[in-house]
Amino acid sequence: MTEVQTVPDRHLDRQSRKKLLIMFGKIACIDFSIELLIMLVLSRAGIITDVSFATNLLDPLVLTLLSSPLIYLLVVRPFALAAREANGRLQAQLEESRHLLEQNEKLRASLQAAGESTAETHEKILQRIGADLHDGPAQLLTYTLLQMNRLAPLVELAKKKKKITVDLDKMCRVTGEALREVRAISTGLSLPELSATSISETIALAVRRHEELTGSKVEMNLRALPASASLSQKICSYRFVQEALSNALKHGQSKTRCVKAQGGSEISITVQDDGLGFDPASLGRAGLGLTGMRARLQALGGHLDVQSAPGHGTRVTATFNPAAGRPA
Amino acid sequence: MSFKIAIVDDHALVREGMAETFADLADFELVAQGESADDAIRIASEHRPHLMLIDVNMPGGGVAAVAGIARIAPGIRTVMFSFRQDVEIVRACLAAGAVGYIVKGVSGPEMVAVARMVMKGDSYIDPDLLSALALEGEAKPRDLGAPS
Repeated sequence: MTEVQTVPDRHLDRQSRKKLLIMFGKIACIDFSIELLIMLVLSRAGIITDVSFATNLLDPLVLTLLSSPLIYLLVVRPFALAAREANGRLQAQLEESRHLLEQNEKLRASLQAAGESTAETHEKILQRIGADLHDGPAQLLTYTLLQMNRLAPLVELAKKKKKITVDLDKMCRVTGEALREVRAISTGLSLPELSATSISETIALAVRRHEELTGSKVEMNLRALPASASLSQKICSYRFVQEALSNALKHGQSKTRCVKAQGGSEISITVQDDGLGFDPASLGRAGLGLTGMRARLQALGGHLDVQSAPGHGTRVTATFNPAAGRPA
Repeated sequence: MSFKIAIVDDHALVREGMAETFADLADFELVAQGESADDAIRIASEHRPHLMLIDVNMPGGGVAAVAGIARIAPGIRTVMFSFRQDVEIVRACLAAGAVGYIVKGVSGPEMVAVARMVMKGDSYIDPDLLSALALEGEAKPRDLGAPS
């Protein structure tokens, strides 16, 4: 933002007095010339006849001396005042727009801070749900699975007497499946400790967790990433890689997945797969994950780019400015 | 002979389920229960069980508990029992001295089978985690002799 020039002082300084004198001089010259011209025309036309040219020459001179201040007061000064007033108004407008711009900037910053704090709250809620699932349903199901087989002799006895038909094995299998799902949800929601990690370690961690969870291999290429990043940037990066890889496997049914990240004035993280692909314009339930990713990135002042077409795999890129966040 | 066994888990219901699993068996005798790393170390020194089943996520930490037990009573076999399927954690447990790692969700008979296996001198790691460890070429569960 450039400095706004101050309104000039109303008192006349030396420079202004000189300008005023020059202006008087100019007015006088123009006035004198016009009057001389009028006199010439009048004498030629025969309206002035019996007076000598020398006397006539003095008349406009006197008239000029008398009329110049009058012209200055009646014409030039009001005009100058009006111009000064207009200038003042312009200055005020300039000041106001500068003020608005400042306010706008403040609003934008507070909006980004609010977005980041919303993302943090969101993260805390996810962690809480993850922990609750771990401490609640998962433990209950663990107990059930440990105990269920104790029913086996009773079930066998009842089967022999043909009183009931219970498939205890299936019950165990289904309960085991329920526990695995609860555990997978809980693990997905919980976040590893990221406060001491760099952004490349964070991305590598998300990739490793995906590999462990799915028993698959992900190609990874990380280049020129900064050593430090804010915690919200790291959480966002982790969630982005986690969600994108999970989408690539679940929805895209991809065989190979690859994560690339590059630093610089902007950090960009790309997750690419060779899966089914989709039409980005018509998203069903899968759109929810992308919306979440986009919201997280926007809260950081970044953006999400999705490139996909049916049969051509998917490529999602998260981009954000590392300098925009608060350092962790 | 029956093996003395102790269970340490901060979830009372899980402890109860495990205790009941071993309650009817002739070859195991439950001697103590605890819910923290401190409890685990105290039980190890007071009861000298043959086998301890230890939760990874509990106050004080399961890894610290195993390390503490290994220090004061290296003869005690420790088997971890957890939801965590993280190779790093498995590695840390094995390094601390654990001889088994069971992922929660096993049935009672499976749990007993692991306990018997470990008491025979073998080690046991959940099959999924074992293959993940093998993938990294670092599956090195400690090879132990028969229990004394």
